[in-house]
Order: sequence, then C-alpha cells, then structure tokens
Amino acid sequence: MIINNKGLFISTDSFVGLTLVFILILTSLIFLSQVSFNSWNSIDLISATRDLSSVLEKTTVLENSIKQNSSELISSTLISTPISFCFEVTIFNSNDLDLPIISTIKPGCVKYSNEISSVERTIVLNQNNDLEFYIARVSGWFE
Amino acid sequence: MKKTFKKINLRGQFFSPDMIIAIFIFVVAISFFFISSENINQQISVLEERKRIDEVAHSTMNFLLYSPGIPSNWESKEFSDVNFFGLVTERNKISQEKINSFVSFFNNNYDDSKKKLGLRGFDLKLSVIDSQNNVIFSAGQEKSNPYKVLYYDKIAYYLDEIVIVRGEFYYDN
Repeated sequence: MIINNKGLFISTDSFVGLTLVFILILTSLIFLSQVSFNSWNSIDLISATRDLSSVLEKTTVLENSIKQNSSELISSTLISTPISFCFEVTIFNSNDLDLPIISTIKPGCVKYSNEISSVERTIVLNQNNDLEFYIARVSGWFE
Repeated sequence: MKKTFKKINLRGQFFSPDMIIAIFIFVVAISFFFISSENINQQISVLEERKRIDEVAHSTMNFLLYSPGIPSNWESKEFSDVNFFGLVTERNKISQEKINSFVSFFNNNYDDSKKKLGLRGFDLKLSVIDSQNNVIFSAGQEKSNPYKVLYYDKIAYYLDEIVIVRGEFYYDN
C-alpha cells in the first residue's frame, strides 16, 4: 500500500464539525445584532393610543360624532396627531359589534403594520330617555 | 531481502500543511471573535445610553401629562414649595394656570426647575403645539450642539382642543 506523505487529513467529521461551529457563530451574531429599540416603540405606541382615546372621549368628539352620525369630527382631530403615528377609530353600537356605525382612518395613513395597539372605550348616550351604549375602538400603529 | 532505512532529520521543524490550515482557521476565528465582540460592545453601550435617555424622557413627560404635580395646587405656591411639576388637572387635560406657572418657573429658574424634574445632565425644551401647528407655549432651553436629542410627542388637550406636547431632550455625553 502506497501512502502519500504529503496528503492532507481532511475527514468528513472535521468538515462537519467546522461547518457546525461556523453556523453556530453566525447564528449567535445574527441574534445579537437584532437587539433594537423596539421595546420602547411598543410602549410609545400603547401610550399614544391611550392618550388619543382619552382626548377623544373627554373633548366629547366621540359623543358628538355618534350624535351627528358622521366621522368628519374624528378625522379632523386625527389630523392633529403626531406625524409618526397612524390611527383608526371605529364605533360600534353595543347591540351589533360586527358592523361599525362609524369608521375612519387618519388621512394619509394605510392600515398595514406588524404591530397595532388597540384601546376600547364605552360611550353612554341618553337619547329620548333611552340609554344607548356604544363601543369606540381606537387602533394605533406607526406610519 | 533489501533493507531500507528512512533518514530522520533531527533539526527539522514540524510544519505540515495541516498545521498551516489549522493556524489559519484559528487566526480567522480569533479575529472574527474580537471584531464581532467589539461591534457588540459598541451596540450595547449605544443601547444603554439610549435606554437611559428614554427612561428619563418617558418618566418626565408621563408625569407632566398624567399628574397634577406635587403638591397638586403647586401653581399657587412659591417656587421653593414645589416638589414636582404636573401640567394637568386630569389625565391629558392641560390646565391653563398650571402651564402658565410652569412656563414662568421654568424660564426664570431653569436649572432649579430641571432639578425638580429630575433632569440632571439633560436640557429640556417643552412646547405645546395646536392643531394649526402653532406653538402656543414654550419653555426651557434649546441646546446648540448637543451630543444627542430625543423628541418626544404626546397627545393632550387644552381648552377642549387637541394639542401636541413636544419634549426636546438634549443630552451631552
């Protein structure tokens, strides 16, 4: 048997071992490089959605929109919100939660995002001595 | 039968191609490790710094817009009696008296007001912007060449009109 003394010892085992080590290093680097500010962004989004729902409720925008059966008042308020945020306001009658009576999106926004924060508020209106219950859903996402 | 003897060079060095490849792989792995750890360290320090600024900005803005302040009637007190500023009478509802007093205190006693807000090492400019994009209130100082600036917008209402309260946090390293 002739043995070539100048030959290289590259076995399948060592090749598989090296490949695994490189895959492990690359995977850990990819995971570590994904550290970002996303956690704070989520807090900002939730906070902004809550703030808007609070403002819409307390300035009686939601109440007046239901009385007028119009989304114009809400739209004109949404325009004044910070540029980086998009919002959608949907109001349902509590008897029918499938079909909104009012629905509007901030002008210039498209509802497309991985992360949407939603807040719901109950609005009670006294109409002709009858109490009517409505649910307003405010959804927010980053533009 | 012919006998063959292999000559062994005692002064030779063990430097085979296997060894060269092994050293090469080792050097590449070590340099890769040091370069990537340096990058990760830089990323972590940037994130830590950003986290610190974010925490200060969030807590300050939240307290200003969710709390009436300490004491709750601080706007009618002397500056020395104020523990913490708050601009609202209820969540997100900016009080005219409180914002006027805040602007006055903040512009006249800027450094002491910053301390009351827990803003050591930061500069703050607070603006209230109406729906027509007009600045209706402004307090604090803008820094000309800051190391970092964080803009933080919050939604509130003032005299039944929606407004944006913008906090500009200037940070020097």
